[in-house]
Amino acid sequence: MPKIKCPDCGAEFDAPQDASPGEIVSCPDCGLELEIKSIKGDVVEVKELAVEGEDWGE
Amino acid sequence: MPRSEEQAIEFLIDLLETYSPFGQEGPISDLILREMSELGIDARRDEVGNVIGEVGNGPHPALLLCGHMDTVPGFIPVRVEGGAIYGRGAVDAKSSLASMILSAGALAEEGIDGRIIVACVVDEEGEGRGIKNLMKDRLDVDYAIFGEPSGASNITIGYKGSMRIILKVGTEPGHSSAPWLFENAIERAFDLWGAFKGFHLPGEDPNSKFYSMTSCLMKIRGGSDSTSVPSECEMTIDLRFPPQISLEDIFSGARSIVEKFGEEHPKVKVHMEFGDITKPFEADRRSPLVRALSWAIRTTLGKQPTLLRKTGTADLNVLWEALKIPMVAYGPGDSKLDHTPYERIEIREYLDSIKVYKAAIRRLFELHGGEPREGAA
Repeated sequence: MPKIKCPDCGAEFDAPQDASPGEIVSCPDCGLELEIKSIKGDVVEVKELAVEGEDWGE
Repeated sequence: MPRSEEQAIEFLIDLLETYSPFGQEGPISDLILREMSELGIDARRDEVGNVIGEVGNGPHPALLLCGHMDTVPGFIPVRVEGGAIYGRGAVDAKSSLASMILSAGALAEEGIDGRIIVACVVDEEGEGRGIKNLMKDRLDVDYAIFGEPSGASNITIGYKGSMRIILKVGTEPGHSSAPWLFENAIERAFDLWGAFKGFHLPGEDPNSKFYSMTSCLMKIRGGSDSTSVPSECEMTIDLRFPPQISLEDIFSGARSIVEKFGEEHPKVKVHMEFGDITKPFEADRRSPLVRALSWAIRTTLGKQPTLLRKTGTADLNVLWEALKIPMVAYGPGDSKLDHTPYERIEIREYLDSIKVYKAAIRRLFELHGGEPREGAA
């Protein structure tokens, strides 16, 4: 089973069996959302998803 | 001792009922000193009226929590309605201040390995006497959070820079019955404003309000009641600029506009000055501070945090320029209500922010000194 390591809290968790690149998964420990970039064997490369925005005022 | 949710709400209501426009922070500082004392926070008042509280044995990591006690003038009767508290400062920024004080108080009770300084400053809405006095001595802190409304699930990681451009336009005077013979300084000043309104530089992102420049005409003065064609006009422009644009490029670009204008209007003299320069601020979004707050929002509120970049400019810009340590602004409330007669804070959001502050500080102190994360600056 391919494993994902959360880049923020370090938790390791199983990738979904039918996971594919582009899919979004959440770390079960800290809730960080991660996008699966690639799956090669048991190695899953992920990227943190950050929500960014702009606003006016202070 | 730590406060219950009911006591946290009562404390905020007390803060809002204690009217504190800038210059009149005495009574609210008494209230805060009393609350800090009851919470076990070691507190004092400095020579300009700031209340400074300290928690923990320190010395590091040291976190500055900085909020302001003052508001803009204009009391709003305090009322609780529909799950929200209305009152002057509910958003800007007494609910943030209360969240900081109460989270620090809870951590004082539990104990921390490090130090929290809670600075409740005066005159933020005036001339900034509080923050200036705080900066007089170099603050030995590793991180800072400013209590300004970002919304409980958002973190403010950027503020634009600002400067004033003052343009003095002069022409030869003449009789107003023959306006075709003379250059009118007011009209020419307005032509020059047209050039500055479209002032942009390479490196801006035109699709972003944060990463682009804006100009706003703030003041224009010229002419008289006489029968002379106006020969003097002075304009002030508020220019807002993003982090990737240098001051040198702005100065050079502005001079180019004035030189081109001079070539097109040889009879018009223009004198330009730059003033009130505040440099832009942008936090490293992978710093331990941003990570700790993001983690706290996710785990406490179950929401994905939004990292905000704002088009405004704040005290944070000034302190960041001086200290160059990781800083952000965080606090409950919608900043669009700042300074309006409709200031209100959702009670749930206020209580959430206390939990986020507390969890974030604990997490920050864990992350401090740890191995830098891959890709972190």
